[in-house]
Amino acid sequence: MKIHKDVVIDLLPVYFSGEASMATRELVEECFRENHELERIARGANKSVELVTVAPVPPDDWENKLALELARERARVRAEAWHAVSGGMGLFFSVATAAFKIQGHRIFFQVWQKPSVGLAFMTVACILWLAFWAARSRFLLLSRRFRTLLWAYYFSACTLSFLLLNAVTMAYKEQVFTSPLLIVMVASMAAGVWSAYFLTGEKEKAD
Amino acid sequence: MTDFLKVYESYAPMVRRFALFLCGNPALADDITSETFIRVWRSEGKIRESSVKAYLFTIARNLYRDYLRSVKHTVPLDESTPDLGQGLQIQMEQKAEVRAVMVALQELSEIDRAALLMRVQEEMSYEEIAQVLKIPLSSTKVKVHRARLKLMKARGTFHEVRS
Repeated sequence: MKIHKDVVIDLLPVYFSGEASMATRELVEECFRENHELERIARGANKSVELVTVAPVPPDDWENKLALELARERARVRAEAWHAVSGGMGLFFSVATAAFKIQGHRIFFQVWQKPSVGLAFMTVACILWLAFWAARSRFLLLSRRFRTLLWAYYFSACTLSFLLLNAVTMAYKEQVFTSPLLIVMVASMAAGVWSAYFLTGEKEKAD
Repeated sequence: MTDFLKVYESYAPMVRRFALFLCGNPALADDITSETFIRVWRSEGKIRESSVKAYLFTIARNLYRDYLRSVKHTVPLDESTPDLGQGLQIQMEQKAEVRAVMVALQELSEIDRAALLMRVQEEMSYEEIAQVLKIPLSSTKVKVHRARLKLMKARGTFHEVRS
């Protein structure tokens, strides 16, 4: 039976991987007997494929290398945490500095009732924002999804803090500390970022 | 930590070799290998012994795909590619041949390449490969076959053979 070489070539992967049926093996071997050149090239090509099994270098000083990598990882986690904390606190102090209430057609800035307190809040906010921007260069190394998650936590934490502060000031002074409109805005930001986080997760799953 | 170190010592060379043939770049393969184990360490979960290889290869492949997405193009192998001997036990005379195989592998699609490497390098079952690649079993078999055939055709001068 005369078989075209292309048919045999198509069968070579199953032949060399040992997955061919007896009939296929006999067919390929018969063709090899008739065409030594095809056999030589086929075996050579298969040898190339087998080169991917070349032995990897066994572990040498890998334990030290791993310790170094893990230390780097811990440092990265610390930097991420610091970035989230400084950003969150920075926003909190900034908002607190600008928090106001309207009473009798007059605007009262909450922390500026005592200028020293207002100044202290503003200074702390500035320091925290500086720390936030310093950590930002490391923050950008994180994946986009992880950054979104941190932002989501951060806006959620802000919303909860404002609500808590309002609850406390309402209980003791019968007035709100942060404008409800501002809380709604920050809560909307939190909802938006959480949606973005889950949407990117779904997209990654689909990919 | 001891368990983790044991997993690292046992599987790191395999993961590194898989990554090296997958991406064709020793430096990137090193990064993928260390990042794979950092993710395992970070996950803190107990890995079932039977699924360790599949689990590690899934992470390594995902990391490589992330890399491809981030650079949007593959960097072709050239003469400036660092010494392959860093990660593989190869003789001087084998070097050129291994490099040629790596170049030929880069011509395959990423998924075909990964399927072939898992099958040939690690002799993983088709079921395991299908689980790593998240594709049906029949597609896995086709991909392995197709990749092996393409690689053989790339390395063999079949067109010179008389019919």
